[in-house]
Amino acid sequence: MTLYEKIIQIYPALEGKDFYSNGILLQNDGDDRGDYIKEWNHASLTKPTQSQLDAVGD
Amino acid sequence: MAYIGKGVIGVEHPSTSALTATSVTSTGAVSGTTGTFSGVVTAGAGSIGMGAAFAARPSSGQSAPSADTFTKVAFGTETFDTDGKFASDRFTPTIAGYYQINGGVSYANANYSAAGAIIAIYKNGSSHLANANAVGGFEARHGLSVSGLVYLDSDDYVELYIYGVNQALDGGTETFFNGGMVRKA
Repeated sequence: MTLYEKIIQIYPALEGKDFYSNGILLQNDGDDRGDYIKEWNHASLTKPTQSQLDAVGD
Repeated sequence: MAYIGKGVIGVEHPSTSALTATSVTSTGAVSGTTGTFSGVVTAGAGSIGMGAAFAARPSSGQSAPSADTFTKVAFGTETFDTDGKFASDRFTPTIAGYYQINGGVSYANANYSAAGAIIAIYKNGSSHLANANAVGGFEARHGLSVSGLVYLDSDDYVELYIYGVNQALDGGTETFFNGGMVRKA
């Protein structure tokens, strides 16, 4: 499960929303780090914690 | 008389008077009072017409990036790299100046729902120039391109990123990254 999909699981309201337009910047630099949250500036939703993300099944 | 040719900066002097010089700059200026100057000055890297240029393309199709995730595009094949400044999908010219940078990406497939997508030239890890467009929604391949002048100093670098749909990228000529110096700083 990708980071994008995990965030959708945590915040179903984001389904079908454009992340970047809503202040969420996910990035992948082509290295071992994979997808990560570079910026989170959503107007109402708080940035998910690592434990929240880990709790969402792969 | 000074002249500028392809890759060469030269200085001629009248035969009726000796030209003496202690230094010759990359712009062709001659100064000094000792020694006799003759011959042609060959421009070094970064001089007029000698700035670094590169062109790269994928070595194969890139697997689909995650949806809504700015993902660096991989360029495993160099078409040319005049000064060896392109490596690891990144152009680091090392000579301050203004560079024309161009990038393009096509998705390998069609037949997916229309969605927004962004192509971005990243400078030092952040989006610097970008272009957004809709992709998908009908049976045709879709692509995005971006180009512009970017000022790069001695340690700045640029990369190409794509954002949008979860679709594989084309590995042919429709995906590219190239650029070169337009003017030295």
